[in-house]
Amino acid sequence: MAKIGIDFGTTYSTVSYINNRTQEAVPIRFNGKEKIPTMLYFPEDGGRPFIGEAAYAKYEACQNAQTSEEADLVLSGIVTGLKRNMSRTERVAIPGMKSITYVEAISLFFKYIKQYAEKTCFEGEVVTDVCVTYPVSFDETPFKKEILKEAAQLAGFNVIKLLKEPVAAAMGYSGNRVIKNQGLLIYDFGGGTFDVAYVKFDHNGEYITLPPMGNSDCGGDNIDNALYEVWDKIVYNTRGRHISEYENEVFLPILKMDCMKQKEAMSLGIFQKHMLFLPPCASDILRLNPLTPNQWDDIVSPWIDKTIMLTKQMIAKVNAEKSNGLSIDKVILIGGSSRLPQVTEKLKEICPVAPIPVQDIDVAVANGAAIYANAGKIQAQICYCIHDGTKLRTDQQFCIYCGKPNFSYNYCFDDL
Amino acid sequence: MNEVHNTQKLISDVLSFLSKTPWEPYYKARLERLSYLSDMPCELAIAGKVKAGKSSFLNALLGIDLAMVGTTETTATINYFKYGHPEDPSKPVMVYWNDGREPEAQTKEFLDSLQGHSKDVLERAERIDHLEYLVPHPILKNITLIDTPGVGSVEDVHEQRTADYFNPQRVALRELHAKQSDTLTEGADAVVYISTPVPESSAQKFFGEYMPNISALNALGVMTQIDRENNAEPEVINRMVQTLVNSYRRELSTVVPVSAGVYHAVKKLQKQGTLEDLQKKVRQIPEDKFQKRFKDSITFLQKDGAYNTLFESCGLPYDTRISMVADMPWKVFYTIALALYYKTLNEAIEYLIDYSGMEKVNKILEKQFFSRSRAIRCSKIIKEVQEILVDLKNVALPELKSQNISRRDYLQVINNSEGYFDRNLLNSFRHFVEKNIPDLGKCDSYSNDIDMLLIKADELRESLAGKEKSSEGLHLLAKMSHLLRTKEEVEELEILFGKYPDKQMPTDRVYLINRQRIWNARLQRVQNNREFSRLLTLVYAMYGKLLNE
Repeated sequence: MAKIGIDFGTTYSTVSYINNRTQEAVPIRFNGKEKIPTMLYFPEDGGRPFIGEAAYAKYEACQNAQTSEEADLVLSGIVTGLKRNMSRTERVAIPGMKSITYVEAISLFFKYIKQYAEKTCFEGEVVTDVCVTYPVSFDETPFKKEILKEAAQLAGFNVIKLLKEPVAAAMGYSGNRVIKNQGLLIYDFGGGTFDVAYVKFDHNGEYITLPPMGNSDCGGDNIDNALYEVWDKIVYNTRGRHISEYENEVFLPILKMDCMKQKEAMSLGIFQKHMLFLPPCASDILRLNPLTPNQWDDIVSPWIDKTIMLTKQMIAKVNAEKSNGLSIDKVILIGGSSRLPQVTEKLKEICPVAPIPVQDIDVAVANGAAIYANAGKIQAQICYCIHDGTKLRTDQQFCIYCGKPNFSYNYCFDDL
Repeated sequence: MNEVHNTQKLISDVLSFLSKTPWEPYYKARLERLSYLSDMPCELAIAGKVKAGKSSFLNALLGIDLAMVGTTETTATINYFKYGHPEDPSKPVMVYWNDGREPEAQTKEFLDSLQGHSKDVLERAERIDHLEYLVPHPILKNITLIDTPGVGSVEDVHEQRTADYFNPQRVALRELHAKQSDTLTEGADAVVYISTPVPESSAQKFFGEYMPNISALNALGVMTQIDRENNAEPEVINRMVQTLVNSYRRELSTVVPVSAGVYHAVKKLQKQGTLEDLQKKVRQIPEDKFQKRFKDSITFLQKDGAYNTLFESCGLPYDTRISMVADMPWKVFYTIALALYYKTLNEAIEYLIDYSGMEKVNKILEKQFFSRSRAIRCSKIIKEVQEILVDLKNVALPELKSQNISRRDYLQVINNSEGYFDRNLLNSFRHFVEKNIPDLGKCDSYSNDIDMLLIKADELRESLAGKEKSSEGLHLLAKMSHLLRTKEEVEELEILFGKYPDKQMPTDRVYLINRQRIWNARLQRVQNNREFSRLLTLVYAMYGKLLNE
């Protein structure tokens, strides 16, 4: 029985499975990388869509095309922002004068993952079970969870479980499915968004989740943009032009490749000279002096401070409930942008315990999802029809009284 | 009003669910307050130059005769009109003082003492924060009227020349009113800005002395007394309107030319049933004489003389003519007579009502501003309800479930202790546990109920989301229209977000698909500007919605 766990992220997704021999969660590598960009590209000629790394490559490089129109043609076929914008009542336009629903778009993504996993990790065995994670804020909007479930079903999975991201992170970190007597503060600083959540596991293994706090426009991308602005100013002061040929626009190859690489280098403490190849076609080359650590701090601090403020508020919320037995026993960091050293520094000042960087900072959530996916067989449970209250079981697809679909139906009972 | 009704139904569903659970006392008061808030009347602020015919406009718009209510146009205070009955009919106005004193009911004489511009009057007016009138007119149940006479209340050129105008106390009062009006108009659900017609060359005079701080999201311009203009041809009026619309894109969503006098007169004649009779009488004048002689009140209402003889020969003696005009201002009568002469009765009525613009104003207020405010308000309330439900689901319910597991364990321990302890003791323990911890079955049904309520809340919010997104889109568009490449793009997005209720987006699928893709490409290119990205994301979403229909 092949099972995987998917961390469906705003900018990047990761996938894990349980290694049969070691019984440990292992991330799946897609073309050598653990993170897959959550992106689809539909080519103009209406052929098969490019997914993940392939789409991202097209996206990164498209503005090196001969003309702006060519670049636009590529950009108009890029579908990104699936997690942020998913909706039941909107469609996505693709080449060929067609449009698809968000369910269909996400299912294409899931299908790609499924097929790749079957080929590389399970030696052709069909993947039947999946656990997809979702941010706690989706609890307010159940239709988004429904979209994820339907997309997974459309992609061909039989057993579909959903799990909250901070809980998955906790499971991935501890390596166990059942956690007891722990209050965890989870700081998730990702590519596009920031979330801080608190989960408390009690002595029975049941967990409560406080209302999470977060910023849907605060992530690694924003820091890339800030660095791009700094460079743009330097280019303007020395060469009298912006990096991009067009007013008020960004030049994607520099934003996506150079900014990101420099950001990662500077996070590791490497500050060095850098060459900027300006469009069109590297007609102008500018050598940038390395930034000083202080300048880098100035760029990064406003964004980190936003996350720190939200974390402070969350901690205050938890402390307010001390009488109810809520406490912070561990602080775990997940998400690529948590790698910035300033994050740990600043968190140390406000958290009751020092933050523990998770070993697999990028894949902890996916690991937890894989663990959860492998947990025990699903048994039919009692549930109730949401339309008329008839008592049903989770293996019944339709209500026996009113005939409407059973909201609590578990897809694992579908026949193949 | 559908959304308000649905919101209240949702809240009552949540309350009835809570009444079956142990959580009711924690959330009941909060939910009841939310239900109350969802039905608050919308706020309509009237700003503008006082002598612009505000009273007649309000009378025609809402059917409230302000003169009867007791206020007069030149009162230098801010007036609120809410639904209700004044406790003491001889004291119809509630005075709210600046210094926070207890508000007190006052008489009409007090109001009279606020007329004019003498030093005492100004001093007294300065100490008042606002006046409140309780009027039992049904329309006030849905709309709270805020009358702000301050802005541009002095636009009389003659006055500007007197020393009194620059009297520091008067200047101070004008500034105070301007500031108060600004705060009010920002928070109001809709603002109507009234002015008499201004020639194209002096469009800025539309706003009088102080440029109010209003935004096209909730402000509507009204140009009154179009019937009084000397060159009141429709083309001239339309040109004036167009100039104003173009000059004040950011401040006014549109400008509507209005004649309250015509509206009022037509409605009155309709009620009296005398329109047909009037038409017959007017048509007694042969056409050539009508075109040449029927032009102004001097000729038509001449008691003795050549014109009198002329009209008498058409069968319209002096007394008849006087009764035809009755109490209508000449221009109003003229406009109505003209319409009745050349059109059929029904056509004339339709034309005149349309010309008067009142129904257009009503439609814009209701369809654009009020329904949007209500939708946003309900959306916010539903969001709070959702937060309560999620709190129940993620905190209260797991705690209950955990207690349940403990319950099972406790009962297990009690059962295992049979024979080791007194039976009565064990029974009372068992009874205590069973009574105080609900069993697992109920937990599952709670979970289902909460899920069902969350879905309902979600559906309701989805239906309102369109209005929220359009509102945010228009707001961002007003800020950032300079970042778009062409005027056509700005207009396309304005229509997309519903700025003009008569203009709809084309429904051709190929066009919609094309546009969404083009905007998608642009969105990718402007990532460095977060607000602009947000605007384009909304554009993408709106097209996505259109494609779904």
